[in-house]
Amino acid sequence: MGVTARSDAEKSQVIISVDGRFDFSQHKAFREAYKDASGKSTKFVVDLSDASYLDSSALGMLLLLREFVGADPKRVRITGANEDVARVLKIANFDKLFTVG
Amino acid sequence: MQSSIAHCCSAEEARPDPPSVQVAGWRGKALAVDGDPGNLLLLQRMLERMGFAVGTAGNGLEALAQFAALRPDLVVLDVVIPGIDGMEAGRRIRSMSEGDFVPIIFLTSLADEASMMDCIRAGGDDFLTKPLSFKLLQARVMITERFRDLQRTMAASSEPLAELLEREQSEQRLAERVFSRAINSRNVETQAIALMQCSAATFNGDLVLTQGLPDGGLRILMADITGHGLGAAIGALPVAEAFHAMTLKGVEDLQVLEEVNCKLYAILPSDRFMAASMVSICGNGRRLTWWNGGMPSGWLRSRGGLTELASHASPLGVLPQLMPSDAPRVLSVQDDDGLLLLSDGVIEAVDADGVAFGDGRLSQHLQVWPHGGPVFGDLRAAWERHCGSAALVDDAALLELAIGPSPLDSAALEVGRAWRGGWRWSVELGSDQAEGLFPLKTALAPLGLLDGLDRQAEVLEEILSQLCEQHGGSMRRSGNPAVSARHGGSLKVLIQFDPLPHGGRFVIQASGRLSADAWRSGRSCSGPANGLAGGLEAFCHSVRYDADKGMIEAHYLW
Repeated sequence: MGVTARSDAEKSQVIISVDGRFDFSQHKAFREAYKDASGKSTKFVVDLSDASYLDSSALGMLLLLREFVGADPKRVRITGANEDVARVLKIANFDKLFTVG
Repeated sequence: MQSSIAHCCSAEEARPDPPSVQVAGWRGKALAVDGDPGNLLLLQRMLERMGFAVGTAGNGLEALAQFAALRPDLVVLDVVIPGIDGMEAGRRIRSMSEGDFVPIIFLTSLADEASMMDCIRAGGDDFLTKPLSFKLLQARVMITERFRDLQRTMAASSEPLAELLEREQSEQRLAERVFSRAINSRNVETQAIALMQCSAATFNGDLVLTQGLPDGGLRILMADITGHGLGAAIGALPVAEAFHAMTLKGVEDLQVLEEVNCKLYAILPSDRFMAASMVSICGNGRRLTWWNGGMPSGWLRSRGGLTELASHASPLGVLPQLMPSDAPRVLSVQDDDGLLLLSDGVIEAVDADGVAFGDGRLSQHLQVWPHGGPVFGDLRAAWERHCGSAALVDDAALLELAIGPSPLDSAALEVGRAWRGGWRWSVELGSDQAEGLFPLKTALAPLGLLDGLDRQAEVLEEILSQLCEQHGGSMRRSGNPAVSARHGGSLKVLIQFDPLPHGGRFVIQASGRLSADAWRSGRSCSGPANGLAGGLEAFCHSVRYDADKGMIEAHYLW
């Protein structure tokens, strides 16, 4: 359970993995995962392979990350969402705000 | 008790205690309890030397009485005392001290482990074995004082917390009150809508707004603002304001959504937004405009089957502007079609075992939803059975709209609040008197009703004349002389004027006692498609028909 961040300096990419329920309890950890990276150049991958559930506050956290990278949909990629999680992302039309898949 | 009698201890032990041994009782009050007068005096002196004002008691009952009278900061209690024994006295003192922590030190000559444990179980905080040593007593007193101070600090810091919690709760209740008044008071009442709203927090993050359109149509907004309580309320109020005001003026769906989006984008932080679905049914009940940004699919039950109104747009408040693909969509609807809207709280609500209601159960109900019939009652009952006594995690809202020719029934219109400066005028005439209605201004002008409406007066005249013609026409076209007989020649006319912020609205009704059969046959060959009502609909915002009441109603806006 929790959020882990792995930094790939070569690709200037940060991979944030969320494990378990992605909800308000992850708020701080998720923010910690990207706040020290450069918002201007770093690419982010949010790996939801192990996320079992995602609620509206998690959507809010993703929107904060989107704001952090200057609302460029190509700079945040959301991967590995299971069926339930993907449905929530789809309903919120996040495929237009992020790169999903 | 508070006298500072010269002590009888050795010079070494007489070293004064800082900071001010001179002031008797600077350290607080102590209660000394011992059955032996000599020991009691010794104990008293020692405590006084430490800076306590000392009260004494020689037996259990006396100890309890002294404790109640003195409310001391420390109790030193011999286990072996006459009457109620020391353990029992300790227990009672503990229960008398309520929330405040008063350290109890037991004195015992029985230095075995069993009596130690008994002392602690009886509510003692420490114990000392006799004969008493001043140094040891002093050390124990200091330790218990440290505990007492810690406990007092904690109690003092939790007090504001409890106060804060209480204040927060009362503000939540206030917000809910203000909110539900500000919003619910403006929703329209119509039997066409069945609605269920359940709230997880005191304040409901789910919003359901309804408002009549100037053409007699109806607009519904179901929304879910992220979060609960005050946070959600902050966004809800401006949304409700914009929705009601703009809908009353007949502003198009897209513009209302753009305005709401703009407002929310400006006031909400980046991680907050509002998922919403909005549906408008136009006055003649033939056209449904829908928009879904982030809500679960709505459903339209028409004769041909089910249509899914799936989310096609981003929630509101996320982007500075709506994307072009986010535009509302239009569907044709007919009488007896039904609309179902729901929030995700309905699907995600879990039972006692943590199992969600789920799309599957919803789908079962949708499959058996009959055209022209309700689904709401059974669905709601099933949902409530599912949730049982399990606590609601998220807000839930469920709404069904029965689509008909007049979503806002005339009853709603008749009791509707007229804008300030508006009026309503009605007359009932025999058929041979209908001609006498014209020119209308001879009736209305003397009452001052047309003041400032010079230009609109002519249009009003024209609309009414066409309405009466159509009303009569539909009767004639029934081709049944009996209809005219049953009709009895009665014509009822109602005119309502509502000043709007930038213009105004006329609602003009013509009705008569006409059988529903005659009306339907009349209507079937006099619909707009046949051109008969075409003239009216060309310049009226809407024209609608109510077969049961034998009524034609036109809305004209400027």
